[in-house]
Formats: sequence, structure tokens, C-alpha cells
Amino acid sequence: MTILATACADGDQPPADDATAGDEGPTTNGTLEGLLAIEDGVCDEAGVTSGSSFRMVQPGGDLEEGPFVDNADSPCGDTTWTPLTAGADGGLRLGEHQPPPGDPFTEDGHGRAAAIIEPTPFFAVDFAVATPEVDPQTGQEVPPVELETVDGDVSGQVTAWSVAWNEQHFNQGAPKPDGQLPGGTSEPEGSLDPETGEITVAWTSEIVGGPFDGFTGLWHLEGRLDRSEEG
Amino acid sequence: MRSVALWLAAAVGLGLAAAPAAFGMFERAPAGGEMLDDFRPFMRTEVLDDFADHLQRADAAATEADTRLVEVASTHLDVETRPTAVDHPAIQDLTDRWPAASDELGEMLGTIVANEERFHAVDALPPFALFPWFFVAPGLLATGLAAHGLRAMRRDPGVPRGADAAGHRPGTRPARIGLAVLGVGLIAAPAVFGMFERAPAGEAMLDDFREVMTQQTVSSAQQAFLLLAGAEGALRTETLPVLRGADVDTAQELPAITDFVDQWQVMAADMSPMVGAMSDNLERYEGLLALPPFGWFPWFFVGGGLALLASALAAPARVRTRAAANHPPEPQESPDDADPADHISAEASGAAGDRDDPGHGVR
Repeated sequence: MTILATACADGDQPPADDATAGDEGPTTNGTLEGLLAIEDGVCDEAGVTSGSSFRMVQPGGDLEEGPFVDNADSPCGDTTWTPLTAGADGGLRLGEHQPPPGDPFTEDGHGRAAAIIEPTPFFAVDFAVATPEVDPQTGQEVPPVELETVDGDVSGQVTAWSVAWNEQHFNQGAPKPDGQLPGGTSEPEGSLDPETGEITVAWTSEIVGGPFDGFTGLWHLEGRLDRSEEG
Repeated sequence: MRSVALWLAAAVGLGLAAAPAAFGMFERAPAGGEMLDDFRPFMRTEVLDDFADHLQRADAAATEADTRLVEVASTHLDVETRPTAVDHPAIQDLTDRWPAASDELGEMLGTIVANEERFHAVDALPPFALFPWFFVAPGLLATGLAAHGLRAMRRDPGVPRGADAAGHRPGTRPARIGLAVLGVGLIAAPAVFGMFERAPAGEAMLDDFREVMTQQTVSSAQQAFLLLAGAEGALRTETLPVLRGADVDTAQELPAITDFVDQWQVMAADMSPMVGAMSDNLERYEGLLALPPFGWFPWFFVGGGLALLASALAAPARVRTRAAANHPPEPQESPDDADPADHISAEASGAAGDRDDPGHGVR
């Protein structure tokens, strides 16, 4: 259900169940629907300066200071930054699962999911991102990504965010499928410009289990909320 | 007093049934089974040989980066492009830190290789998840049989049910036979499952892995992986392209580095799941260490079996009622109509056990 916001200054607007942006007027508070159209990450010598990106902190490291993991496959001058490129769907669908292909890996172990972002090289092997109904690392059912906005602030959950790399799966959501926020995991936060639909959302997710146990992924998505892609 | 044998059998049964809960086996045994499942893909000679090859490949690349790379770059590249090929922190890390990391990984791999056969011996045992029930089931059965026998010895006085012409009644016979069979089964089980060889092998394997299955080792393996991944990336994206751009035949001039870069994906595909298996099983391993030593397990069964067998042999075979001893028994009624009769020892006098006839006693 969509409720249009008005420009009334009295502040007595009824609470909105769904928030939208774009052609139908400014965004109101509530659940976001549609497509978070991802803006491709842009690099310079300092790292990713705009758009969407990924970084990884080593175990015991600081989210601001590192030490970060160097990805030699990054085109950035600072290879601790990995730019992300929008996938075939254009980005992240809110309120809908975006599962990987039936076989999530190529013969060489590269991740194949390409709807949200394009498979991206990391340590010479592409990682791919999907938001399936069942988290492949934990085997637990997970809800689709849901974001909401209150007065321009964005929050929500990205529990289903799953990375496939080198024949292995890593849940990089927040909260985790069991609802916890282990270690450096933090729930998504961001902002939404109600006039333009420009949106940013960022979260951190510590890897639990597997060869990168204890490493923390820093995810940053920038783009625009496209309501025309509403499911 | 001869009921003591059956009380012993009951105690042994209760002990067996309670042991899994006492030792946390219901959680630790299945977890141990999961650990075996996680490591099984790696505990094969061909896989371990591949790991050894990967280590040697990385060693050779590090040595070549330390001894040949600068020379080749100096020969073929001008002063301006030379640093791109050689002056990368990740390459410096490879030459500086890899030897120590390789030694550590080599020791770990050596431990794993040395325990390959022991792993398969343990893996050949029945599923770990069933182990608690190998105690609970016979324990409850033994307790039930003992209780049946004790109950038969304490029936009310009166006309003995099922007594023969001499006044004997085989009340404990089924219990004795059951306990004897169960005892023999428990004694034989370790031999049937090869536990006398496999359990000590499992104990030795767990002991050997004390230095391997630690958070410190996992962290070292992670850092080693990052070290190699960083170096590979620098060599692949900077060193080799620059040299090849100068028409250097890198396969000829730097064969070890070229081979390392060419094989990196295979190395990463092999190494990272192994590190993952170690990381995922640290708690399960600690759980297995918290159990009694594996080598004791066959003797738990043997000891329990011997106790049950001894109880079965020591329990009263037949008991002659005093009434039957002093008076001929009444004509047999239908078993359904006969009153329950207590066991009375002709020798016992005034022994406790018969509430209604204090003159009867139970031996």
C-alpha cells in the first residue's frame, strides 16, 4: 500500500506503510520498496571515492584503521578497496529474494550470481552476491532484504546477503540468520533523499566459520531507489 | 543375600545408561561425527600430496622471488619500470615471511599425514552419533532384567506359582539368561567393531592434533593464505605483465613464479576449505578431548559385560520355598489363578523379605 506524502507543514501526516520516491512525490516514512539501483564504484589512488564498494578487515582489526585485506585484483590505487558494479537486475531488490543460479559456481570456483552485482575478482577468484531464501552457509531460512526510512534515515536488515567465493559460501548479512550481531557485525544504516531518491546504505558483517572466520566485511551501497521496479 | 548379584547387575545397568549424560556424550559424540565428516575429504593420500605440492610450489616461488626476480628485472627492464616489477610490499612479504609460515604449515601437514591411517580407523567405527546409545540401550536392558529378577525373588508367599514337584520355582531364570546374553554381547562388541585397535588409534590422533587444532594455528594458516594471495596478486597483476611487456619469457626466466601464479586458483581452492574445516571444528575437537580417553572405551564395554555375566552366574538359579520344603505343594492351578509366592530359602530363617510371613526369608 502506497501513501503519498504532501508538502503540508503542519506535521499531522498519517504514518505511511510504504515509502516511495520519484515520480509520485517525496518519500515518507516507512518500508522501502522497489530496486536499490546500485551506482558503480569509482576508484582513484585513495580507493573508492564514489559508488558502491567492499572492504575487509582482518581479525581483531579496527573498522576505521584496519588492518584491511589487500585485494590485488582491485583497480583502485589502494587495493584494500574493491569497487562493486551493478548486476543484471540493476541492483538490490527490496522485499524480494534474488537467488543465485542453480549451480552457484563455475568449474574454477568463481561465483556465478550476477543479479545484484557483477561477479567481482578477489584473490583471483570472483565472488558473487545473492539474497536467497535459504542461507547457504547456515542452511537457515532468511527473509528478503528490508529497509525502511524515518525522516531520511535508512535502517533495516540485510540478513539474506550471501557471498559465494571459491566453492564456499559466506553469510555477509546483518543481522545474521540467527538474529545475532557477532563481533564486528552492525545493522545497515544510511540515508535517503526523499526528493531525488538517492540512497546510501552501509553495514558490516563478521564472517563466522570457514577460512575467513573472524574477518569482517564492510559493505557500502550507493544508488537510487527506483520505485518503478516495485514487485 | 544372593539378590546382591542382581542388585549389582542393576547398578551396572544404571551406570551404563547414565554414562553418556554424565560425560556429555549426547552433544560431544555427534559433534565428533560432524568433525570426521568435515575432514574426510582431506584425509586422502592424493589430497595430502597435493597440499605438499602446493607448499613446495610456494616455497619455490618465494625462493625465486628472493634470488632471481631482481636479477631478471635488472637485465630486462629499465630503471623506471623495474620497481613496478619488484618493489611491491606483498612480494617483499613473501620473501621475508613465507619461510617461517611454510615451516609452520609443513609441520601441520606432517601431523595430518602421519594420522591419515588413524583417521580412517576411527572413521570405520560405527557412527559417532550412535555411541551414547551403545551405553544407554544395554544399560536400560540390564537394569530391566535385574529388576525383573529381583521382583521374581520377592513375590508374596503362598502357593508358589510355577513351582515344580520339589517346590522349586525358576523365577529368576529369564533374568539370568538375559543378563548372561547381554554380558557376552558387551564383552564381544569391542572385538566385533575392532575397537581394541581403532579406539587407541583415535586417542593417539586426538593427542597429535592438540598442536594443530588451536585458534593460533588457524590464525597462522589464515595469515599464510593472505600472504600467498597478496604475493600472487602482485606477481600476476604487476610483475609478470611488466616483464612480459618487455618480451621476457617468464616461464623460462622465472619458472617457479610463473607456475605459482598459474596454479594459484587450484591452490586457493584446495587450501581455503581446509583452513575452513579447521576453523569450524575447534569446538568439536575440544568436546572430544573432554570425553574419557578413547582407549578406555572398549574396556567400558568389557568391564560392564563381565559384571553382568558374573551377576547372571551368581544370581540364584532356583529357590526352594519353605512351604514346599515342609509340605507337599497343592495341586497346580492355572497359572492365572495361582497366587504369587515368595522365594524362601530353606536355610534362611527370619530373613527380611516377606511382609506377610515373617518366618520366610530370602537368600
